Amino acid sequence: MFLIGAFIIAASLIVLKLNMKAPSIEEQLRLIDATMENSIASNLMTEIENSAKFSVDQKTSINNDVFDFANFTERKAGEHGLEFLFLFVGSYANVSNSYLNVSVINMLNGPISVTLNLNDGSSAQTNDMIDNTKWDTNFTFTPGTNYNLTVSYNSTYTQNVTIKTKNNKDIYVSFFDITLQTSNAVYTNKTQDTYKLK
Amino acid sequence: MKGISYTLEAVIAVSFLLLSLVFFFKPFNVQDSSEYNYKKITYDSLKALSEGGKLRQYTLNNDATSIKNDLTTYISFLDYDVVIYNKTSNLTAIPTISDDDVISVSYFLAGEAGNYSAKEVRVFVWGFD
Repeated sequence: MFLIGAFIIAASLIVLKLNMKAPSIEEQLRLIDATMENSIASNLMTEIENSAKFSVDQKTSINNDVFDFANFTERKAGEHGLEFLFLFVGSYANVSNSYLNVSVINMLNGPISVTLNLNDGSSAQTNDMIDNTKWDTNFTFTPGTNYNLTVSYNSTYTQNVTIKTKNNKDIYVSFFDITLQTSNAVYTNKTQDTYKLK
Repeated sequence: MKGISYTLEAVIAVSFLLLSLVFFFKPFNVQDSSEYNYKKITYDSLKALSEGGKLRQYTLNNDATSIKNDLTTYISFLDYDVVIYNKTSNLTAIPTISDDDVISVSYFLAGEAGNYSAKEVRVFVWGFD
């Protein structure tokens, strides 16, 4: 009797244990890899936005600094197995000459045709903007007026950028569309920031 | 005679049960993933230093020594060294490491407010056998 009962209980415990799974080494490493990927992506995304933020004291070099850091990001992301895709629009409203200078950076791994439409009816367009290039164009604006700049490319992508100009201060508006991806995960971030310039 | 056989049966049954309990509560055998864990620990340490404001200042000044000293708070149990890179090359000395097992962890910075400067802080870690 004792033996039979003990055998049944022991057999149940053994079957239960065999069906429990320990986290395999592959799963652990995958989890850590995914966590590291996420951390690196977050670091690069934060700093690429900082490249504009830290440059606002030198108004004329903001777009070039962003372009510079974007190229740095592309190289470093590649070293960590991440593909980098980037669209940037920088708008500088200069009250002294009433020019709205707009720069577009294409790092989408292919040529794009870009159209910019300002809600006052003015527009600008460039066809076949090649990868890893910056395009600069100008609009005129009335200081103190709010504008909506619609950015579109290849008839598949549209983004609105709000530009609230001031009467007596230059402003800079940055728009970032960042993607970092591997075969397993995609990290994306779209942000818009406005800076009052000195 | 019957009593002895019952006793023997009970002893065998209890032994059998105890053995199965030992097997049930034996911990799983998990292979060592320490290198990967140290990567995470090192990265989190750099991030903590960055959020405290010091990493940016040290990097701008190419002060790898101060970064290494401050990281002691987090990873004093490992052998490590710090190198600062700009876009094209190292700005501080690259250590000579005789250990075969070395990992590296990078943290990227765009400078600080009023001062754009693209740099990479790379921590080389070894000695985790």
